[in-house]
Amino acid sequence: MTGALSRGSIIERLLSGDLVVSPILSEVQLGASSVDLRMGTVALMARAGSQSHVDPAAYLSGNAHQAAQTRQQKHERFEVPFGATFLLHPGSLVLVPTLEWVRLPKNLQGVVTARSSWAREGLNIATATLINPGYQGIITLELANFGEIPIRLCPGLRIAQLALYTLATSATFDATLAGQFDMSFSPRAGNIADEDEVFIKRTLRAGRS
Amino acid sequence: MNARDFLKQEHDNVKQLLEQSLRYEYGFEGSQEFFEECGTRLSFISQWLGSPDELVADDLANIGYQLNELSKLICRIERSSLGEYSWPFVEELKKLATGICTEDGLEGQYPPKIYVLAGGGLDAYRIYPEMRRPMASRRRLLTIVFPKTLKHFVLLHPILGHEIGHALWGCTKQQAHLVGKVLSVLKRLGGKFESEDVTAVHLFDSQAPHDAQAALAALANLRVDEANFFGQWARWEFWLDEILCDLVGLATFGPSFAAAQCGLLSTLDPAGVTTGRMHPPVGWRINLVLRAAELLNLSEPPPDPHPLRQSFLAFWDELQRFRRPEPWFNVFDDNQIVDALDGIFQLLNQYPPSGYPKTDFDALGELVQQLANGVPPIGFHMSEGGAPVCSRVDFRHIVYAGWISRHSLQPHSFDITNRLCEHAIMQQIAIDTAMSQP
Repeated sequence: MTGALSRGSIIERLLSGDLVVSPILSEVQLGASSVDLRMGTVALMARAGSQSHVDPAAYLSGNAHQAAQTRQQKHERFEVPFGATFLLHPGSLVLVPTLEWVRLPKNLQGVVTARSSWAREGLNIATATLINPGYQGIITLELANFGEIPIRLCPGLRIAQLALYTLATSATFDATLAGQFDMSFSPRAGNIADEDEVFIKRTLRAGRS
Repeated sequence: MNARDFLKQEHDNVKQLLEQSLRYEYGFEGSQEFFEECGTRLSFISQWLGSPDELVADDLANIGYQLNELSKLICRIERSSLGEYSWPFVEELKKLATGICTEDGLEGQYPPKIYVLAGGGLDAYRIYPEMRRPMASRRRLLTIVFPKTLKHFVLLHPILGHEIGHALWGCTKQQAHLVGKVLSVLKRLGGKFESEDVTAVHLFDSQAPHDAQAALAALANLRVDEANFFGQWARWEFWLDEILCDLVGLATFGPSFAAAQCGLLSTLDPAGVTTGRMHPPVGWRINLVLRAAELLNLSEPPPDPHPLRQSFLAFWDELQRFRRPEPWFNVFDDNQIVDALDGIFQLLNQYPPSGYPKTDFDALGELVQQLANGVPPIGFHMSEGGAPVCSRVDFRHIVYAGWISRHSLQPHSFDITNRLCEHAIMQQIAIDTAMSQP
């Protein structure tokens, strides 16, 4: 049977240990068919001044120094402990972790969306919303302020929600399918050139402008 | 330029240095408190230097000392600015250090100001207490240093319990207690630390293991022998301080301190026989801490059967492998160890949560089980009725669970275990915050 998990099914899965969302600080986090997720304690923000544009070629493994430098200098990391706040300006994008540690079984897929109350304030939570079956770790939220005034955020706020869907068949799961963000403890930049080097190199050879 | 003018110039230089230090971000709490404290001290110095009265040599020396210390501290902080470190662990560590290092002053109590740095090398773990407060109305600065490479390795961070001992020793208020109730016990008549001479006799004992004798023989090239060992080479009082601080570490962090100490010290000095100028042989310290842990009943296993029992026993068995069997490594008798620990706990118990809280095996077992499942170990579970249930867990038990889980059937790598425990300490702070709401 496939479809979205109801509150009762989510609780059943949590009780069996099959599904992990830890911790759930309050019963209000368990919605009719979703679990609310709280903001964690790190914010990773792109350094606007350090790059002219996002360039997949900068991630190519050929130039180890440049690739490493691009990775290291791409983001500014802010520790935002409980009690502190982070101001998200209009048009800005910031990566934050969830407070919760999540582990999905092989027959569940997760979808992360904004809580509607925050969306109405202009806060967009995630564009890459799918959580693969078998994933474990924090979930990285891609927060963007679509409104016209800055939004003050603080760790512990319920800003996102996780809906869960059963798959028709369990995913066959091995290390190669784990994805580059499996077992994440905090947000980090991805590798946009990963496994696509052939196209980027072809563009370079053609003398891209 | 006379001394007063030179100090005025140096005051301006230090002030500029302080302002320049704001070019960087310093961890999650920023540097505001530290900046303001240094700024206040500099304005005192400025007033002092600007007073119409003549300044005597003592005044000038005092001002020079204070400027020097501020300058060194600001430079060290700027060199080791951190963007990322294990702040959840630091937040808990601060709770331990703040109570016991709070001092009385003119207008009440003065808790220390704590600042975190990163250093290079495995031996970078330090807590630098300011040796003297600049004046009775100022707070003491404590700087905590973590090895940069081990920033997320919370299982090793309990080694800072030893450094809490040094910070305690730096507190005028606590020193008298430590001298009367702990050092006096360690120096008890008939013991191997009765005096410098007695310790030297034991150190150079012909029954000492060969590797220890070889290490001491190497010192003969420096014309160091039994007669002048503690005058020319090592400082006996500092050796005693180190031993006292090891016991404070065990009393604050419990088994995790013993595990971190055995692991780190044995890595830095695998044979455990090197005699440092300030440190007694590592083997003496390890044997002392392991025996002290036994005398505190920390190694007493859960009843049989208990799901935790096997990995618990394996954890303590592994620690025992660090113990050197030769009697030369045992420098205190059980009565001394028990009495010294009593003295330390008398002090720590006045400042909860400084003393290590005893473990509930069931709760510890649940934490270990969570780790085995690849989940950060915290006080959270779902009740049978399907409601989320949160509970308080001391961060030292999270770390202890991390150590024990290393001996479960399918342990995670040391790195992952540390990251899970670090994450758990952060999550537990959220749980405690949520539970503190009325």
